[in-house]
Amino acid sequence: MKHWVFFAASFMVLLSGCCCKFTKKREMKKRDEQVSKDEKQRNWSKIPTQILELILSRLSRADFYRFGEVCTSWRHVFKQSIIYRSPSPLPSMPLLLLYRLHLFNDIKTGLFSLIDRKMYFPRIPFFQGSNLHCLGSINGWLIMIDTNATRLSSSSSNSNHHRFPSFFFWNPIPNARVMLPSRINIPYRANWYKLFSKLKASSGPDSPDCLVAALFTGQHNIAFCRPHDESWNIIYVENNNPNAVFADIELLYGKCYVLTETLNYRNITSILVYDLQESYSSSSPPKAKVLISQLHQQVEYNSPNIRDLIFQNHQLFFYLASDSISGILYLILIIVDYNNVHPIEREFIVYKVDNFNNVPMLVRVMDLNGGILFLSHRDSKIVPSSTLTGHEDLIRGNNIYYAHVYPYTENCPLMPRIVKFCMTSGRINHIPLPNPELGSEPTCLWFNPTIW
Amino acid sequence: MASSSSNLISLKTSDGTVFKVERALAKTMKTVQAIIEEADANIYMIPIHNVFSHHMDMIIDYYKLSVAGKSKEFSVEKLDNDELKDFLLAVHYLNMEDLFEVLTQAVADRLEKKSVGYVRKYFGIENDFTPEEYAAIRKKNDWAFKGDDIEPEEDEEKQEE
Repeated sequence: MKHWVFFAASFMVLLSGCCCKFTKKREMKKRDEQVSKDEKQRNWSKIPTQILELILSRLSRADFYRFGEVCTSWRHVFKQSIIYRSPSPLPSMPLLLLYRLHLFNDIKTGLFSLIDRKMYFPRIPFFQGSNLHCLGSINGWLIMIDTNATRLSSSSSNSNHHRFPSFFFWNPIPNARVMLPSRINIPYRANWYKLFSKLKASSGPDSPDCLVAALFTGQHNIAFCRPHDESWNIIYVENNNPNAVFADIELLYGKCYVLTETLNYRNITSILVYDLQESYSSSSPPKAKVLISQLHQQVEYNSPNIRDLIFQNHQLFFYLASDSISGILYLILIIVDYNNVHPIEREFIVYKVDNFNNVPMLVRVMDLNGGILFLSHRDSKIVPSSTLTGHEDLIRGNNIYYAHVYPYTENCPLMPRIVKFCMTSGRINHIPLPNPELGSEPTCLWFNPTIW
Repeated sequence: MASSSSNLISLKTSDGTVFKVERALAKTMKTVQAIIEEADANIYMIPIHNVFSHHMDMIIDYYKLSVAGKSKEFSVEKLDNDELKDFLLAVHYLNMEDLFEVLTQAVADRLEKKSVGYVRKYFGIENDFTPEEYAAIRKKNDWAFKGDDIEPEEDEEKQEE
């Protein structure tokens, strides 16, 4: 009897096991058939979101936007990617923002693309009115000054209640703003937008370590701040030393590097370092440390032709640039020939700051570690070539794209120029701009729009 | 009948064709691999419902090329957009990572620098925006800096009516 029960029980278990397996197979088949029916009905507008997202991630910025215009289901995937900031389009080359072009009596802002060599004029007026000015850019944000903003100073240190401008980061695509302090303890002035000749940020304002440093025009002081500070902090040239006038600034890893020059002859003298981050954590004003002195000698030592050139109606331009990935600080010297109808860039010489036996010094380099430098009078950015996609010639590393609006001289009207310098071959190519007429005080800077 | 010691797996496509493929190839199909692991060692035949025999042909081609280190030679140029879509969906169903990346890149390449009108026409997509919606989107996308459109914008006039 027992044996029979046991046999029956085990038989039942076996049978139910088989049944389970059988129903599982049937369920799977059913699911497959359902999926198959669905997929057959799908045309391109209805393919799974997962697939559309992967396609999106392989599109350039322009294609990314066009994707969102095709149909409602594609637009939905596009919008989700903007909300969740993923997937993002392929990174692209910065555009040259040509600011204050004069077109048919209209002040416009144009964006020049190196990729198709075309000028774009956003339909939405970029800067409405003449009170908005662009002073710098970082990672898809423009750093703006609004000279019409009325923020009365509440501090008793200002005896007159003058209007102060407002400073802010602006991302024009989502129209997002992050304010910077407007209080700046300097005497009132009429032309606020001329206050700074250069304004650099260490990162976008969404980063907690965001630092902003600005170089005053002519007065050779620096101001710095963070987005949530109450006011800007000002660094003055120590002891009004005429040999240490501030010529350029660069931010790297929480420090502000300053290139100094002599007042009269524009001879570069030294590179100073101010540890801004340390100054914030210790709540004391930053003190200058000399990184490299007798800079002019080091530059001449490396390139003996310079002294000759100065006497032949050439001008030297010096810029600081940094690569935040490799942590390298660069000094770039551009030699411009003014003997012709318009200025011609003759030579680009690039140095990096290196340590020899723990002594920082300038070393001439023939590459940027594979990076591409976008340089203008207002900003400098080094972009790793490996992150860009596009035509080989365009995105090749160790190239410098230099844009400059040369000041008006008798022979040469105001005009922006872009040149491309290949560090490997030494060739300098002029990139023609589609003939813009320039308005008053035009300027240019490199801008890489991001969609969030 | 496949025995458990065989190195070949039998796959049956939607159109009834049976392919005997190497276990290594079946392993690249995560969906198939899951079925093998879920069931017994003695799996008789695995049906792959969303895959047709011409898809399997291309999959085997790709596998052979990638084993020989020549995966870059694999091309889907000869497929039209609908055929590419079906192949993409088949590879998606089979969950084959590498080939799937190749195909999504192929689609991205076909979309590159094409105007919206061109994409709708050649991918067979209907514009289901209302004219007002579409006009608002176009205005917003000012910042796309779309550059050279290879095909002119089609139906743009009709949209803004």
